[in-house]
Amino acid sequence: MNFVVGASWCFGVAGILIGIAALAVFRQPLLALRVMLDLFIAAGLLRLSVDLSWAAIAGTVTAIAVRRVLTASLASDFDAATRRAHAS
Amino acid sequence: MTQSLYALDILPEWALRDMVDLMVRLIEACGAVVIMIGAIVAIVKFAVALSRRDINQFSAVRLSLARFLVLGLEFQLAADVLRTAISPSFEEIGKLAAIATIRTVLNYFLNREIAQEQAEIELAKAPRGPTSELPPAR
Repeated sequence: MNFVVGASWCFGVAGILIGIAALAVFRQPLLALRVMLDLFIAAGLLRLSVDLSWAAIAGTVTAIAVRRVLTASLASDFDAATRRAHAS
Repeated sequence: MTQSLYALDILPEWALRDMVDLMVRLIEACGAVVIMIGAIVAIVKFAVALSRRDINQFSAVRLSLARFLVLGLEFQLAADVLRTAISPSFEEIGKLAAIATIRTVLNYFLNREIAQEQAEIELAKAPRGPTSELPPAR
């Protein structure tokens, strides 16, 4: 049980590190954010399989909701910026 | 004198409960192992793609991570379905419903993203023609 919880923490930390590295290397915030949130979701799902508390459920729901809202809003922002750049 | 044999004698409730509990743990462990392997493989491949500065490989790795997550979720949903058979309290059933909802919603979104990302990768691989268009962003 503790091994899975430890692994989920490791995936969370790896998500932050890879997200920052992707932002630094590729200069694409949306891609970096998506990668980071994908690994957060993997961590949340792992934790949910061993920890059936309301806190774990709320944490996973928050990660998924934040992921959906942020990626959708950033994608629409970048699309609008690209369209403006093409129009001008 | 004839002796009647009831189903409860062959398979008492505690034996059924233990059996289902064992199966739930096994299936849930399979899901956790799949997610863990997928995340480890993805982290290694992300590091390789970062060192090569290859953005296409980076997107392909995201796709493979999403596929592992979907497979792990399928196992975990199967375990949830089994668990409903032995959930005695309303509190446990509530938690189970919440978790099953999370997993189902996530499964739906991940499948949609996989299809979208796959289309983007195929579009990037295909030679650009005059009719080629990017898929709409979601």
